[in-house]
Amino acid sequence: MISPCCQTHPSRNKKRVISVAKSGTFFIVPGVVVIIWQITAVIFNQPWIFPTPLSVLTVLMHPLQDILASGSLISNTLASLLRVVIGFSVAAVTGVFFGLLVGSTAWLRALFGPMIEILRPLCPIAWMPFAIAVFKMRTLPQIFGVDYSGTILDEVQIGMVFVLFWGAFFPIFTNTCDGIMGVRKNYITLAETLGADKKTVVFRVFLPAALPMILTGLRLGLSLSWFVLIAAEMLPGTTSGLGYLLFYASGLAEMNVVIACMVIISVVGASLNGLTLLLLKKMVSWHGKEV
Amino acid sequence: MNNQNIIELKNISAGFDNGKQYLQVFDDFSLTLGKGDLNIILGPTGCGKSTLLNIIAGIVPLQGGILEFKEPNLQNNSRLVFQHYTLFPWLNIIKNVEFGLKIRKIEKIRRREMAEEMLNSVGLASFEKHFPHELSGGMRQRASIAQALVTEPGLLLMDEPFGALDDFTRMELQDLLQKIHSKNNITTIFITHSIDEAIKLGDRIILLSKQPAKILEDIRPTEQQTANEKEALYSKLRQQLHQQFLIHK
Repeated sequence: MISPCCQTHPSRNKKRVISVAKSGTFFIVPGVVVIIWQITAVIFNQPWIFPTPLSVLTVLMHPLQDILASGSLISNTLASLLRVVIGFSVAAVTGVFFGLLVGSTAWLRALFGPMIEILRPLCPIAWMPFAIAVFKMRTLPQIFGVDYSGTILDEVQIGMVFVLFWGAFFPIFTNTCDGIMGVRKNYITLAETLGADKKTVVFRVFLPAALPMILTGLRLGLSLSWFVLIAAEMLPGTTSGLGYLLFYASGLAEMNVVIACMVIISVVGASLNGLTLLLLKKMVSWHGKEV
Repeated sequence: MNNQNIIELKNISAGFDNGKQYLQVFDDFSLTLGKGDLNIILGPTGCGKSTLLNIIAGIVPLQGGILEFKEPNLQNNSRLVFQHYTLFPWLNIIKNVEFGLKIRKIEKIRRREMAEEMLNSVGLASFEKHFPHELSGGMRQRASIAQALVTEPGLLLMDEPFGALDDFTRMELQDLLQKIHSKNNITTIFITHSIDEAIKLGDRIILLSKQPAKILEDIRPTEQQTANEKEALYSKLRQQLHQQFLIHK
């Protein structure tokens, strides 16, 4: 006879089985892909075109080791992340601010609308030559009069930040704008009849009501700036970052390094997306359930 | 019931553009409302009941005529209760109730005490940490009544607040409103489609015609004292009101 303390609820057991089955399913497809990849690579036997997963794993297992005299995987990933964080942060602050302003003011929308619609579809990478011409290869510390700081900040070129800013700005701005314009009139009336002035309505009604859309804009902006960054780092004049390392290694036919970079780009991109999704879920749990 | 007039609408005209055409909702419309009355505005759909409420709240501007408040600052001290989207979905119930108090810069501890007391009086003491979507329709309306009343308004404007509720919950909330009204005698304007609700709640029932709205009936059902007289009046009123609905259908 099983003592009561050792008994588990049948539905809990069922849930556990489902959860184990789910996590098993999660690994089935990647596992099969890796096995097929390994077999094909061994048969093909041309590692400069098609490396084995084991050789890629070897690169990934030594993230601190210098690769092709271009820094380690970690240092290049950090340089890329720092550029994205700075470019995205500037876009987030300005995008939300101007989105709030334009979304809540009809005449500003009429004034800036056509200009925004012309600039919005422009691919951020198209700004790269302009950014290089204007900012040269000037780095962030140089803006503050420090030629060489000896820190990772020396890897943050202003031109790159400018391009990332353009990449992230429009999704954030347009989503904030749409979010503000879509706020239910009842909430505004309710706040006003409870005595709220314009400032209170903006910060206590418009902002929280539009938060789901703002967070969606931030999520899109972050994903897009990560995309843009990798492409921008492949352009001439860059000496660090995952995009640079990927492009440099491909020129030297080090395909295992190329694929290792691709894996990191995917994992970092998915993690950033996962983090923002988590934030979205936590901060606006009420979204979609308004009554 | 009180004879002292508190709101006067004199020969007002008002309307709005619905995107296709301009709708003249009121034309040379006059109405006087007494202090402390629970006024019911009854009428067919689209007759201008909600517009009248919004005019009094200052949301819809007048094209002509005069809207006069006999008490200073009464319009600013009015609170609205709607049928839908009546609470902020991003705030929990107690924070929703505290919203108006926070705007008035009432100290945090006092604010919490007042909100708790109000939630207790509407029977939601144990739901203060819940979000609106976690409550039933009736509970949400209780919370929105608490949100409106906690700031001690001089005028309560209710736009079909119980319209989306089931009969049982509706009756419960009607009782709650009667209890609150008999306790603090706030002048209330209550919009409804329901004749039963009008008869049950109203100190005064104003029946409006279709646009441009005119007053078809202005009745004080609770003036009758005895139960029998009251019952007879109820039947008569019901018949009259039904007839008005049929004529203007």
